[in-house]
Amino acid sequence: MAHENDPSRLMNVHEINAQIPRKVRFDGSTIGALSFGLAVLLCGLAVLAWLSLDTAKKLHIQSTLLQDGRLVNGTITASFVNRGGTDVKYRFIVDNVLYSGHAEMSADDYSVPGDPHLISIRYLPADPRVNQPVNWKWASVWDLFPFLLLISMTAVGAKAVIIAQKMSNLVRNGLVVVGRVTGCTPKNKLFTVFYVFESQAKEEIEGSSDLQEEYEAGTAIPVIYLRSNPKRNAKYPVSGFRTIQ
Amino acid sequence: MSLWQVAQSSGLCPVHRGLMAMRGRHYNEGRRSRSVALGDRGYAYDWRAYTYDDRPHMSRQRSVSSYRQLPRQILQPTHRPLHVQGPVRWPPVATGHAAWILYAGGEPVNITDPSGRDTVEFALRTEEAVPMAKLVDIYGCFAGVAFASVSLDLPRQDPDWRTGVGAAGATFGCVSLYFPESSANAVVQGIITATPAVNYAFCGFAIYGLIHDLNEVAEGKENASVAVSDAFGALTGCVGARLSTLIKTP
Repeated sequence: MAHENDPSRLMNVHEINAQIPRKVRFDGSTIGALSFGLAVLLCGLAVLAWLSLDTAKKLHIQSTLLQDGRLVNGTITASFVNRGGTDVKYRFIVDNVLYSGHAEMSADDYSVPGDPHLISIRYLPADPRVNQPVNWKWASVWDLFPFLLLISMTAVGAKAVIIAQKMSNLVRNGLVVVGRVTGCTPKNKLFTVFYVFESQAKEEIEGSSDLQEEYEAGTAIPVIYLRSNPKRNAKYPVSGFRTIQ
Repeated sequence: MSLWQVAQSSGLCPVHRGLMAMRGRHYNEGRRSRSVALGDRGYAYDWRAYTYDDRPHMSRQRSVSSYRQLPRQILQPTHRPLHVQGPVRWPPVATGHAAWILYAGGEPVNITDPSGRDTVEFALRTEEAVPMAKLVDIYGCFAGVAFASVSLDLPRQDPDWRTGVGAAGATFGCVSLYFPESSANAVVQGIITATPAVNYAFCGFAIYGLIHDLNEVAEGKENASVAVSDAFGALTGCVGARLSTLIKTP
């Protein structure tokens, strides 16, 4: 419970506001969370970029082969089932030269009907190294779920980074005023404290923060808000961010 | 003082008094029920005592979920229960472990619990429940890592991007255990609140993998161990995540 003689009430608001723009430092928990978010975001983006480029490249080869390619039957040398379909390795002969390739086939009917050891290949006569199975498809419905998982993890990383950036901006440029607590409700292991404060434009703004302490209605509470967007506000000092002189 | 007397003395409207009389057990002490009912002088209760300051524009009925989104003016903790029955103590004395005897917090000699609800709510709401939730998370973490290891090891070919994503999803829960739920840090809370979404996505991924693998096993293309691995993952993602969420937010 916040007491009437809470030291935060005694802080000199004018002195705090005179330091704008403040120098902001992250504390250990913020650094940990931000590092985790950044790592997840970068890894997720890297995988997404690789997937996109790989698919774009294969689609380009497919469109090229559809225009200028020739058909030949290749021999399946190996096939492995994976979670997206079947990884097929094959080889074929053009002008007495042996070429090989591999592709991930989403459909089961990739082999030539009647002979499960053969696969129909389309290749570029000018350079047979550019080849692709005829039945290759760029997407499979089975890929939806791993893709969703990848997107959700990347989104968590992005969320952590965006929140850190927003809160950092708030602490750096925010104006500190004394607000008034209007309500308090438990939220898991924290308390959501509702408050009102008056902006520079003499407008009464409502806000809330998740805090470790419970506050009584009517208690004064220091609030920091952005002058350009008063709806972005939080209790001051902001947990996880500290300012230095 | 009876519940009816309390209702009368509190100046509540007749409808409200009737409600309280009918659901007296539910509202007893006016502090533990999560139900919200609003009469002419509406009020909202949580497990601690709250009063509601009169606002003419407020609707007369609100659901629990809308209660959580009530505007700023609603909840003013008074630390003064509306009514406290004589022999009931709150909170019950901590038992130090999951209750062996749920009745009266495992101490029926010293504590009376006429409603039979106190200990359950206590177990779900207090610090006592946290280790249990943490335990479920830790179980999910280890099961996830096991799933990831089996997934990476069992397939006969090099792992593809889906296996990598699955392994990352499985271990995501372990890393998120590092962040304390009691932290008021907005960045930490952002990760914690988003983690269930990842767990459910992982759940979907593992179920998809299981169906796929069972198809392959049925067709004789794949060994059953991979399917077992995916089933393990599905259990981790779905049951573990849901169970943990239920314990933390009853």
